[in-house]
Amino acid sequence: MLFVGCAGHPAAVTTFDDAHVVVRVLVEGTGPDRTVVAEFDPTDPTAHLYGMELPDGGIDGSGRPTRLAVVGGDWQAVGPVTASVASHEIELAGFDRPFAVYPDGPVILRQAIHEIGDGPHDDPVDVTVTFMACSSKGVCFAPVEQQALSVPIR
Amino acid sequence: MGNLPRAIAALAVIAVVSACSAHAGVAVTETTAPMTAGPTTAAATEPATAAPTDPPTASFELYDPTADAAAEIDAAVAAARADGKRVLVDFGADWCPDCHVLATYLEGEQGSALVDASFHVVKVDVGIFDRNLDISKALGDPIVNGIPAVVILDGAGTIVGSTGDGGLANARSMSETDVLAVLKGWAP
Repeated sequence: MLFVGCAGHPAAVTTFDDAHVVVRVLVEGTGPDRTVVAEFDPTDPTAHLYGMELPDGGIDGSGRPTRLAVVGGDWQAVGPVTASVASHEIELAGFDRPFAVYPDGPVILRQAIHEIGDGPHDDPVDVTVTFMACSSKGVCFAPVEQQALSVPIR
Repeated sequence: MGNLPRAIAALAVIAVVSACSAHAGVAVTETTAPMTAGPTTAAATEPATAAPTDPPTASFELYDPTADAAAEIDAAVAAARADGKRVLVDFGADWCPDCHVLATYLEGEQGSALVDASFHVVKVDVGIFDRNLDISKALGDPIVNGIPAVVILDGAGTIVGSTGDGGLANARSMSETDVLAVLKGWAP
């Protein structure tokens, strides 16, 4: 489970559930510099997500990257998105490039953000998430692309 | 199986959306949790960073979303009635890796020989399970256990075979021989 830690201010968790993946997003920190944390958790324990380095439209239209993007609003992204686990490559018949995939199970993406303006640092953070899960022992699930979420600040 | 638009702007919105092989619900909810100092799952390794994004790929690779699938099936059945072959209706979508694997096998030397001798192939795009669902239902809804799903029709339009059990939905873990063996069983 992602969102456990020290006691104190409860962080608002926005949960999005679709295509056999549960996405939980919260904003860590205080003041104008914070971090958006998004956990992508496939409901099938044998399912993997694709690496964020995959092209937007996948390879030959197949697969989708796991992505977290801050979009508009009063917050802007600072630096790159980081992942909790490293991806590895798999080869599939018919594709001339390998697919970057994460190990089976959840992946956490983190994005540092900075509030534009002087505050009061309580505007929600608008993000989009993109993902697609595939079971190594079964089927692939339909992609979810640029799903908009508004993550409250607490 | 229906996939509703994902126009979710507010919290606590619930709709019914389908995924590849099974029905799934979509919901956005807000709860609270103690603030965390960092990820606690999946032992963190050296953080990976996002690469620059590539431009979107072509509009479609295998399954044409604008095709009139019903008309194409009708034409293929008529052709099958005339030449004694059968119709191989291939339900899939470009996003589906297994669908690309099936296409690769069908276009290979053995697959091409099999298709040329035995089948008229019609590819039916199911989108994200929001397209051509009426055609799928009319043919026994083979996509409920995943795509690609194949239905074989004879020259009378009668179903003589189907992978509605999900038999090809994990084609990426099957050999070319195994995939083609499934189809050879339905060759006339």
